[in-house]
Amino acid sequence: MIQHTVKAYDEDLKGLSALIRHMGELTIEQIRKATLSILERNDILAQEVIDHDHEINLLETKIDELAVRILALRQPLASDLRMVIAALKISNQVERIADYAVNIAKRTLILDEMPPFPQVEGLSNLVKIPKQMIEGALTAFETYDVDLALEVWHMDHKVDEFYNDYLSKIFDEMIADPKNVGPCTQLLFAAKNIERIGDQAQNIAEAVYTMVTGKPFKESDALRNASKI
Amino acid sequence: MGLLCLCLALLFLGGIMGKILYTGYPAFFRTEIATESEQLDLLNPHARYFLNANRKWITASDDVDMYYKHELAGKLMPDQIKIIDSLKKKGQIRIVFNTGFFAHSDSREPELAGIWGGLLGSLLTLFITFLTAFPIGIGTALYLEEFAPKNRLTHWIEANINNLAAVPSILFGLLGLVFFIHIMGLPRPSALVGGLTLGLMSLPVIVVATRASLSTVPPTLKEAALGLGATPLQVLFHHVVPMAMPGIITGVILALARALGETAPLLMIGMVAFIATPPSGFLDPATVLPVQIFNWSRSPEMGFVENTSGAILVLLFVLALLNGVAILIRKKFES
Amino acid sequence: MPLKIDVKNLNLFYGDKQALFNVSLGFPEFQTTALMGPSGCGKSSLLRCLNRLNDIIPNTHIQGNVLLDNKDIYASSVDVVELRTHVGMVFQKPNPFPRSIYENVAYGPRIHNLFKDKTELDKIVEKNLEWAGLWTEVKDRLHQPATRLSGGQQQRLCIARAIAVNPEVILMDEPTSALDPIATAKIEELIDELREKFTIVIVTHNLQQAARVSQQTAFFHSGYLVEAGETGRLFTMPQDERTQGYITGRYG
Repeated sequence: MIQHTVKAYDEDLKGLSALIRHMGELTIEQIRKATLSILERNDILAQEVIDHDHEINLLETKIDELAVRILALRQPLASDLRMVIAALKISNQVERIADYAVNIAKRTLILDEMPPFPQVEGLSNLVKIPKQMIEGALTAFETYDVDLALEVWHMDHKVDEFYNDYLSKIFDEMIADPKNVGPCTQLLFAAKNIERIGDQAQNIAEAVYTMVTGKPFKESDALRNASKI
Repeated sequence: MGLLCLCLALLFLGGIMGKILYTGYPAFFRTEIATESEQLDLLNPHARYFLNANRKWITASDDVDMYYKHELAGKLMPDQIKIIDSLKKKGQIRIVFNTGFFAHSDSREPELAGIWGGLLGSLLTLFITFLTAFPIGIGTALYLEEFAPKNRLTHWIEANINNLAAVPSILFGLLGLVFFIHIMGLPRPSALVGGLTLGLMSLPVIVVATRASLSTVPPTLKEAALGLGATPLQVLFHHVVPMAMPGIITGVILALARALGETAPLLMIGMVAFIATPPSGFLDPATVLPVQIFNWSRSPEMGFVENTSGAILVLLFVLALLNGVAILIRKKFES
Repeated sequence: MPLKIDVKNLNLFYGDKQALFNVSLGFPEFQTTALMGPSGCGKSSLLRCLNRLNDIIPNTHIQGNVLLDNKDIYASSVDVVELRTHVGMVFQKPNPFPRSIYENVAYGPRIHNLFKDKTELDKIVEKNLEWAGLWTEVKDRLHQPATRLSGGQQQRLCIARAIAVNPEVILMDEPTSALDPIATAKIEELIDELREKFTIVIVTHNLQQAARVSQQTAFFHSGYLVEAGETGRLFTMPQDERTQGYITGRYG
């Protein structure tokens, strides 16, 4: 895209994009650590995740402030306006994802109080796709890639599939031994949070879609485009 | 440096004005002799012309006048001088304001000569000049500025009009002589011919001044009027001309002031003759004030010297008046 | 929505120089259309075609049609003077006549004989000054010179003057570019109210103003109509790259 005649304007917009990228990457890292903390029963790691959450909240505030500033001072129009609005939405969605990561970390601390229980396979697989989705959505935002956004959107099916798989395994364990109900419930909550992360990542993809096309997202459009993927 | 030049110029101006004032001021006064005094004949060869009228005082001849006012003996005989001195003692000689200077027209005798003929001639001539130059000049300017197509012909006409404003005035006199007198056969040194000639001379000046004034009217004013559905003529006469009027009037007055002081073209058409009776119409032989001054300046008598200067003072006064009016009008419309 | 003015394939020439290239644009009735674009793009030229004010510039001619109520205003039978009573104009720099406030508004009705007697004329002046939002401010000094008003008031006076001849269309050539923000806001509010009775075409350099006051916006570049459409859509999702570049400030 051609540069703005007013360079400072371009820098403002780039700054906004960079903040979103930074916030996204921090959040992906939080998810990774939170999941690892559950798998390894690592309290310290879990506590780290909980402590670092405020960094992400600060970033959300920063992004909001910069976006409002750009709106007031630059009166952006057309593509620039849509980008700023998308940035506001996405920062909100990423912040929620970070909250889900914190919830997962909290499960680790609770599990620590409980007696040992058998490992349930699937959590690390489950968490892979939402992380890819977030990464993909961020890239789509930076590069205005509508096709990538739609790809990301469709990936949520897989997340639901893995989640349902994991759910049935959890139920098996609970049925097998009532003593497992306690810890399994926590694992269930963790999995649910991961599934929600996937939903939010899907929302980010929808925001990117609106930013690029100017149209509100409709499922029918996504399904029509499924053939492209 | 500029200040020095200014001072020099003012010095010269002061010098000239002073000289004219000094020389011409006495023209506004004349010597009179009481009718009851004896030996009137000796002092005033025209005395018999006045004895019939019921007057107690009559005008002294120019020799007496010069002696009594300036102590210049001139052509006076010693015994005449003695008579004058004795009259002085008897109180039978006095100086009064010379209303005749303003009321009489030209005469061979300096003491009886006045500017009325010249002044009246000037007024009549100027009137014709105005009638000729004003409508044609303004009409031409309006046409050229507002309606004429912008092509080579119009440019050529404009260039020529501008150049005409700088043509020596005597050439207009030649034009007047040939066209108005020889071809059209109008009476020779009449106010009509003089006015027409000066009118032609003033035309370029008026056209240029009017056009300059018209061009100061902002085009947005015309557009505003057009936008309301005014016809071009309505735009012109409701808006453009009223706004340009101060400039136009100033230009006209200045052109007339210049015409008032013109001598050369009028000499060409023959207004140089001695005319004793003031003109009663536009076709009567007439003269104008500057020509009158010119004529008087060529006469040897002492009396005419002061008359010349006196007439110059009157002319300068009228010119100053016209210019002052022009300035007033401009100031009034600028506010 | 019926089109009050319909421009069809309009080409405008100033002598040999072409200023508008095949412009086709409709102006819906009782709506405000904004014409915008960089300097020299032809927006003012188009505006002046709509009331044939371009006629006063020598050597201008057009090809194509400009239809007012489906009648071509460039037909040879059209009386330009009468046309301008249907299509009024307000200019960039307020240009009241050097007369009283009353006489400014009364001028149009006078030259077109739109009233029977003085009382009727008084009413016309009052009504139009009220429309322009100026009546309360000037009702006690109607006979003072119009030049004593502030810039914003003068411009509203010019609007009152223009509507006093009962036009159907009002053309505005950057009407607020010489005014302060408050005066500008008053005039924009006025434009919105005038839409009730008139069709308005406004040329503006100010993107935000076009966004604020118009329902339809047309973007011009170098004599071409690049894009025209509903204002909200044009400012959030322009179709043409050049429009996008212009309104986001990316001139390349």
